[in-house]
Amino acid sequence: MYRRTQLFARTLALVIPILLASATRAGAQAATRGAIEGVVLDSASGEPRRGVAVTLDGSGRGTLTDDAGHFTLADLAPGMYTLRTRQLSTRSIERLVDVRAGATTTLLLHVASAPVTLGAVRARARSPERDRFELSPSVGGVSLTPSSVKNLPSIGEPDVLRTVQLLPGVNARNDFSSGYNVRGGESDQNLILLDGYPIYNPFHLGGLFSTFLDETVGSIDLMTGGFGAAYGGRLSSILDVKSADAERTGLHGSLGVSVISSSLSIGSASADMRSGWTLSGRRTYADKLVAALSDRTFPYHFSDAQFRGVRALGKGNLRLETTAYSGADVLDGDFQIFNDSATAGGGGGTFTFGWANQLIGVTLRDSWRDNARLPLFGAADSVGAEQHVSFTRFGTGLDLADGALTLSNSVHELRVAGNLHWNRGAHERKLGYEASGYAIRYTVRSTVSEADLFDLAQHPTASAVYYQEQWKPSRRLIAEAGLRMEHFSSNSWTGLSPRIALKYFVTPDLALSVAAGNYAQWLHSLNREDIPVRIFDFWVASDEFNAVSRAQHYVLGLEHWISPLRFARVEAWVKRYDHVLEQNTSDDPAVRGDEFIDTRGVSYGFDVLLRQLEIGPFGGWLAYTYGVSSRTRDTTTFWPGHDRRHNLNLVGTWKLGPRYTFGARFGLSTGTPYTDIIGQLVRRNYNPRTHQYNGDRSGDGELEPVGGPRNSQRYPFSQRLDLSLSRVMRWRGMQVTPYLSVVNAYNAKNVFIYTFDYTNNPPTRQAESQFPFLPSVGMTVVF
Amino acid sequence: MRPAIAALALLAAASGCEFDKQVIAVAPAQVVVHAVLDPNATIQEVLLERTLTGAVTVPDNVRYDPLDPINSGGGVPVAGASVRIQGPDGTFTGLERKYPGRAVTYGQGRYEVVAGVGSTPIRAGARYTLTVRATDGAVVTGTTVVPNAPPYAAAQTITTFDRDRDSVKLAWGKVQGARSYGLRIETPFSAFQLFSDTTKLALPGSLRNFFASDLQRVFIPGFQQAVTLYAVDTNYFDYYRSRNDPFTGSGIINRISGGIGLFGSAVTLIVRTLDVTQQPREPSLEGEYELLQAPSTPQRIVDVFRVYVETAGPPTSLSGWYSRDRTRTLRDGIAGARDGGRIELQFLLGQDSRRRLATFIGTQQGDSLVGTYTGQVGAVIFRKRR
Repeated sequence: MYRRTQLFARTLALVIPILLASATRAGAQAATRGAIEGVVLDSASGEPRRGVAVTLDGSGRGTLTDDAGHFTLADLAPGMYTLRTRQLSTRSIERLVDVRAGATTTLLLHVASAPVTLGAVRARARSPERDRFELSPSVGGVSLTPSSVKNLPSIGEPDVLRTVQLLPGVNARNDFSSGYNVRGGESDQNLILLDGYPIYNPFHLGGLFSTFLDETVGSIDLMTGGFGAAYGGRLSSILDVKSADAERTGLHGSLGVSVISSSLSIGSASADMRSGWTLSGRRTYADKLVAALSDRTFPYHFSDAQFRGVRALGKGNLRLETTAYSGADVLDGDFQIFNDSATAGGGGGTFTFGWANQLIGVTLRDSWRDNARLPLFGAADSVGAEQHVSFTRFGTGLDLADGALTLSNSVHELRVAGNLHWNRGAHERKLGYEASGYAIRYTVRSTVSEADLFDLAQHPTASAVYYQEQWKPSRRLIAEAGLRMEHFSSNSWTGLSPRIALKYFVTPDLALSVAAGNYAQWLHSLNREDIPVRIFDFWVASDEFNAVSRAQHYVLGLEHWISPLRFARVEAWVKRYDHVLEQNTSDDPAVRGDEFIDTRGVSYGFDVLLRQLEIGPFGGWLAYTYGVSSRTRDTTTFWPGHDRRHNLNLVGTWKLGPRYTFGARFGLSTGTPYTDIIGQLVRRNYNPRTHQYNGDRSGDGELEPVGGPRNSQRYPFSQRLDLSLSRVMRWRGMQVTPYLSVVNAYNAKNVFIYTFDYTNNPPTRQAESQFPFLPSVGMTVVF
Repeated sequence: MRPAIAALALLAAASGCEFDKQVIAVAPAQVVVHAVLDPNATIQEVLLERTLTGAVTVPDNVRYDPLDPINSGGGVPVAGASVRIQGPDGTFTGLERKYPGRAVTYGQGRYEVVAGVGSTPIRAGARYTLTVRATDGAVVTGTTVVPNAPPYAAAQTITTFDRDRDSVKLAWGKVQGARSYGLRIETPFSAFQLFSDTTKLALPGSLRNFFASDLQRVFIPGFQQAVTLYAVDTNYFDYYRSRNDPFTGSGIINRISGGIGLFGSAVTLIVRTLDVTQQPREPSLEGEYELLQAPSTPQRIVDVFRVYVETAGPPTSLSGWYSRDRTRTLRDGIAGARDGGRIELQFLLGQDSRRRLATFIGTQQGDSLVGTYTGQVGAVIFRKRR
């Protein structure tokens, strides 16, 4: 034990002096006791498993599940335990469980029958919603499981971000965007993490799909506001997507085929379940199909590849985790496909338009439950430590007409982060740091003309230290306070961001929460919220011209657990923003510092969430959000493009017996603001050779819209019903699940944008539709 | 269940209504100005029109006429306005020219400003203020400072340009008061335009035109293409580098007060005309052809032309030039294609791909092209001369 902790401490010491503290054993300390309770379900049928032995390694404690699959292990010393299940006809599973003083840790375990060789173990560590309710004062959190995503209707294939858009406080601009706005914030204010590592622009196909591979997702946690001091760098939300670890020995995996793409995921775990790996990939094949079946060209595809490896080091809890991801969208081809055969100059050239994400991250994680002593902080009942190192890259490039016009943007982030967390009695403490070095480049040039039109290179660093303490002074009250100090190098900005959250339990199942905090963001997207499509972001950093954006969150919430699997939550929120940067469409390429316009703003509203956890035959949620957002630029106040007032989503999945699962989603929302087009003008092109204007509309002149007051109009309400049905079958030892999904089942006409015609009398307006009726089929095979 | 279905049907119907084309209200129009002062021009044009609001239907099938640019260019002219340009030499007045024998609306909205008869009308380096008073009381003003470059006086020359080997290399001196430098190359499809903050440019012969709808190449063999380099003021630079996006109708950098548009200035620095050629690609087809026989053709349309394989196919893109008489003093452009054995040649009016004199469709037979003009009877044979 001593040797292991020394080794880990030396690792930490390489990157942060403050974590030099080596944990050493200390004398026994008195502590409040904790408990573990849970339910064991059959992974295939979802029915409770009776008579499963549940034991805690090294403690001599154990019990059997009852008829409802329920078990309880009470009067446990706080700390980390290895929980193990055993039953003659099932595969054993192993979970690390954190027992906290005065708290009951809730687990939900799925076990598979031993003779079954596919999908054998699908285990989820805990029921995160109840855990969060009982143990954390934080607000605005929602957790989803892979099954929540998998069983919902989808376009082609399940998608994490599409599902996140259905949660309370989250607003999707339209059907064509995977981007989202949280509680009135801009779409670039969401920090998206893959296994704790930041990932930029996780979108494909202009935002229609996210980069997260369904087969790789283990859990999804969204924090829509008031999040703790451990998180920084974004103003509005945190989306933490964690990969699933391999849970079976031998090579196994899954194959997915949809109308969009095919995916393959394979993995294996060691016999002692202390190490494992998964490797996944996905690629669209429309380009290959079109090329194979015709003489035409479909010059677009996207692809993803992801690796996840976990290895326990030594005999304790020290784990090394590695995540790597690479994804790309490629639109490239030859201008021959545009060629009008009756005109010259049509063929021969190439174009390239693409964007790509790469990520690699390594985490070293350890915990030990024996009473320990931290030199700087005293005795502790249990200690955990994490150290992350990651490199993230996002880049996009456009090469139009063989270098006639090239545009590229890239952001590289090398990040180290770590934390030390420990508890003692009723206190849980976390001390951590983050340090990031960025390399950002944004260029527009005509390569063949050797003309630089715009060139921006930034190499800032960001650093942060934070301390967070949670205190449970009584059974009715949980308090959490944190302070985050951040520094950004480009403009020598240093800021303090205090965070506080309180939860008061009126009854064991009813709690009142309040939270407040300050937040900062130094990376900004050049995208405009007024534009209803978001293909990807062009990132730039704060500097001497552009301030670090700030926000304050104030949240008041009430949560009531109606039953062990059902709860309701209402949260009211107010957010204030300073230095929210908006793209300056009139910036001068020769002038640095005018790329953004400083705005301030406010958002307020409330969310309602009524959720039935996805356990048993029915699961789903009702999410309703009322929100109002405004921004002020100079003295002008306007509704930003994402200011949606009412947003309702009804989501449900039903298990119709052991084979069929039915999913449905109904969404109803009021429209977002848009700027009315009040006329058109003919841009007439001056010809300095003839001193005249080549201004006909079909030639050099162009018809351009003329906008009215900014965002003074609103689109009509939109609504959509999506349905899905899947059937589980078994074939040659594999689990085969074909599915049918229908998006916009009754073909509702939802306005995407309006187009206007002012060239004729009377003037007219025509709406362009969002998704029409879109059926799709697919199949997954688990082997 | 029935109420639920009925409710869904109602929702679908309610939202479906939005997708019919809807008549909307006519909004007040704004005055649009296009005015560029150029010391090299003897007449300064000020174009005045209104934004299109649907109050009237504007024709879109009229051939563009530079003397009647608003009416023929899909606009609504502002007629009868007071147009005044005030500068160091006093105030000059813009007048709508009357064209006897033409419709009374012909030329409306185009105001000619003739300043200083017999002398340079516009001074380089000077500040000018435009004031427009429309008959409805609208007042539009703008100010420009003309880049301080000497008047361009060099004779235009035609230079052979092999697009496979040559590059357009331009270098010029910095012009005081110039915000940027504009480059314009006339092409058969759409003018290629570029702003440069530097004082030199190099454009390869393979350059593609990202202003053209099909992103064709800039330099097309067989065409005579003008290259113009000019210094511009801030107003000109900002107006033409910006545009209103289709979602918000905003984005144009507008430095006009009381309206929308441009009052700027441009001074020509370099003018060249390139006679574009290329290296042989398919000698069996490429070459110069002359009319051999047109016994039943009612008129002789083309006497001689030259064809290049612009881009290898299939389909193969063709280009070239033609002359209506054998002296070849007047040369216009050809755009065409070969798809299988079928050859289509469009004989253009001038160098503009949108305007066609005639279209020849035929096949290659030995050293001849045999076919017909579309819309006419009788075979036409062109024999390759070299």
